[in-house]
Amino acid sequence: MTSQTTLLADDASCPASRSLWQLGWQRLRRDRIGLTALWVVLAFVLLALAGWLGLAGSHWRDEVAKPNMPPALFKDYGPATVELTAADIDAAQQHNTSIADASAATGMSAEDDPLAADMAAAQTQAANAAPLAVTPANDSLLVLGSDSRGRDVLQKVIQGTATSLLVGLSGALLAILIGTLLGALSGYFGRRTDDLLMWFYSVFTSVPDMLLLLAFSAVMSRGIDTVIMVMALTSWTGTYRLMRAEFMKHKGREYVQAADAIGASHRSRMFRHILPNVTHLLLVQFSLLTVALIKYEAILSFLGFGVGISQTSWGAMLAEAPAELLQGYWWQMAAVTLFMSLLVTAFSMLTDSLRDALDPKVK
Amino acid sequence: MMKKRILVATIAALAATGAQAADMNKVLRVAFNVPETGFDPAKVSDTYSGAILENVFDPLVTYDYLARPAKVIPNTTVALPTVSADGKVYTFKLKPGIYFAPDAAFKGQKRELTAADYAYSIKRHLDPTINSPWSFLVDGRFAGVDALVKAAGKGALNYDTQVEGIRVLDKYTLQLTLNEGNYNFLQILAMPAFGAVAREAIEAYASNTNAKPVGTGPYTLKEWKPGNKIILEANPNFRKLVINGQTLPKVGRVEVSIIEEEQPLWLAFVNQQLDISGIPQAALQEALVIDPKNPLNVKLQDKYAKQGIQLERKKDLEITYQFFNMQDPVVGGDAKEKIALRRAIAMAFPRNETIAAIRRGQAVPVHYVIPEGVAGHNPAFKGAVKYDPAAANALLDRFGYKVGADGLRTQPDGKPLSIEMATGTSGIDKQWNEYWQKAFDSLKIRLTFKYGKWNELNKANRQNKLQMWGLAWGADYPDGENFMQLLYGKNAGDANSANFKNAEYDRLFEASLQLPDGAERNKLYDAMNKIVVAQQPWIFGDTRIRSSLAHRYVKNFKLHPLLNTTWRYIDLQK
Repeated sequence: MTSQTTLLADDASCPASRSLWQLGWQRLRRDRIGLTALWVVLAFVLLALAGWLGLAGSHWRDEVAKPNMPPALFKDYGPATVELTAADIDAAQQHNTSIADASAATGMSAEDDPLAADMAAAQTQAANAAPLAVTPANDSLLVLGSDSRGRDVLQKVIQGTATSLLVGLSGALLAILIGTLLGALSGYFGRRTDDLLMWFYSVFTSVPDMLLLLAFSAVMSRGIDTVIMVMALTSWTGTYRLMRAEFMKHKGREYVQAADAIGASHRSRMFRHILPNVTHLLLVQFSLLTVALIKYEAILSFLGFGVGISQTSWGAMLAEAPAELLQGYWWQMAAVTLFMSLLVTAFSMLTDSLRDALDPKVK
Repeated sequence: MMKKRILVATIAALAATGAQAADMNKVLRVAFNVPETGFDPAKVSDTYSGAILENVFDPLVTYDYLARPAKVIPNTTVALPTVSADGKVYTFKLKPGIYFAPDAAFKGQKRELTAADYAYSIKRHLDPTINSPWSFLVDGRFAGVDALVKAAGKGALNYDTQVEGIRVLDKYTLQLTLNEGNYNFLQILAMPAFGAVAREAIEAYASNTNAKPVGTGPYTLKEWKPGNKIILEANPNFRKLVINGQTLPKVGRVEVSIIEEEQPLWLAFVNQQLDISGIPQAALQEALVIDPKNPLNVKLQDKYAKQGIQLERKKDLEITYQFFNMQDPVVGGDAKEKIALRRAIAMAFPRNETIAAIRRGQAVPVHYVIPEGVAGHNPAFKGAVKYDPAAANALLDRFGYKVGADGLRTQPDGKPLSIEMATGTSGIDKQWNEYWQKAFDSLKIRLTFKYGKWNELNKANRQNKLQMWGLAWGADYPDGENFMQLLYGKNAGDANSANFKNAEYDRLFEASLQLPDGAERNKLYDAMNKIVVAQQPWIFGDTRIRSSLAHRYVKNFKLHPLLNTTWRYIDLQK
């Protein structure tokens, strides 16, 4: 900023000219709520980054504690149910077996089983080898408790944050890309192109969003990439309409005509001249979409159409909540609710502030 | 107040006519956790639709509600049928004076049940245009019927042709002639699928027979919102049926809600919006005190016992199993290394852990294809492999399933190894999948899931497109044959979902059909089970013990091992 001021210092009568972005940043900095929201969102992004890079939450699948342990602070507020273990079932079977067939134990003899020799060898080999390191379920307390398999809810929720943010951010980015590209083509060229793309748009919007989401996720396989694709494919329509209108408005402006006069190509006029003048709208659109997609992902996973078994997300965690609540295990849902509402609220407020800050008409 | 009530009662008594005993003011509210599919006995085979069929239609014979073990008794017949010496000819004498429920299809006439109705109903299962899911029970069983089916080709069966196997001797006499003796024939006829339909009604509602069941049973379908609500009302034409001095049915109206999610189902019961309900898995520990030493030893939690809630338990006549598609190039086949792969997967699955965590101890492991309580079960046979992931890994090592650079095993020929398991999308499915994932992770084998609705997956499996899937089989009738046929080669792609084809097994199965229940047949069953254990087309699962609850005011509450419902016996005294 200083270099710019020196550059312009020659013309003392003219005040330093600032770009829309600089003005926007200045306005945002004055908005206390917006700034706080920005910090919260940044903190979440950092947490998600740590999750993606495996610095935090990477051991979420390890069974580190007893199943359904309440959070450390509330260790006396869990329901007083006794969790059965495999050992209990083993013992009960042993007991029943000894009653049932004390007389004649019919089993397989060696000649019945083509693998008898190999099985015996494998069993000896396994018995001789060092026993697998089995980490006994310990009683140590976890900050956010454990889930039905004894996994740390804190680790899970961090991993869930990473997934949900990844899905939200990249889904929104992809949707913006599709929407902007199609919107630009449609608004700039008009006529046949516009008709065709509008028809395409109408087809997409005529189907209810949720139905479209479910239809896409039913045909595609599981995984984060699929969820992102599905989200992007269903949510580009809003951006498309916006961009189409903006490009229609801008293409008749003087600066575009001037660019045309000096022989700028269509591509250059669309993306070098018009696009930079509408990007502030895209930023707002992007944050709106991110919030919506984080919520959509939760719904998809809740309905069982989201991420697979080896991944977790907020929605996948919430899907476990109804059965848990019935048994009085409230902490997993509480943790997800806390994280999710914090991020979604912060993101929504940030979007609001961004819109205020970037709208030139608001001073 | 008192007076008024007496008056109402007198009027009600005067209004009630004939054998009608049901109190129309009594409403029994129950719920299904899976949607029904329809109510045409020849078109549906799911338990939930079957529960409705059971109350709308009358099979020739049924089960005694109170006798244990289950005992077949006459239903619409005067007595059990007379059977010829060779066990092939069954002659049924119908009770006269049994009438169908009033329906527009009868044009205002009172329509009596005749032997021809049963002949028609049985023939419908053979009609190629109906494509009955129960055809495996009747195909090739009746003398001379094959020619009739052949003549129909792909078109409708000619119901008017007289055939030797299904003959109407007079208005009330039906004679069924089998090609070969069958010790389970009466139990098969007791299934709701073989209830009598009226030809006029079926033809009148031909476009949608699933929505218009017209039968002679204790209830009629009053209202049906598919997948949402089914309302039954007492059949005003129902014959006089007295058991232990009580005229049935007692309750005038049955309302069945479909509640798929566990939590609302349980809350509806606790809040007395349902009179009878099973306990959903998630609520088991909330409802029952389970003894960790012996998880099958349970009692109601005090807060429910105090409300007078009644608990009934029964061990289902069922087995669950995870099957491998035996025709699949990766997991199927009878080469030693293929058996080793299946065996290793079975050895890595922590079955007792799932019984503890998912079933909450309310299940026992399966060790034999035939479950306890079904003729032919052998409690001494221990067919399930021992949980031993270390030995499973050693076994895979021995057969050349090498661990590659990516930490995953390859096939012995060096090709990548990846196994796909079919699964549903519910929360319970997810719990199971986590255990499967863990088992495959411990074996270092790549596992993927194929998600789908049950009927879609079932279709895919019939087309031989699945690799692995988990199923449950409940007894249609309490005989081992009903279970052993699950692996019979000729039933491949149908009831034999694993597509298991083993010549020796088939030979033994065919031999076992010729024998009555007894030591000789059990010997064959043992030999067949040994083949199943050796070839490992299945990973044995468990047999569930079901707990059902009823509120204090529900009377005559008792579960039956084979009947789906006991609504006609139940009374409400609020």
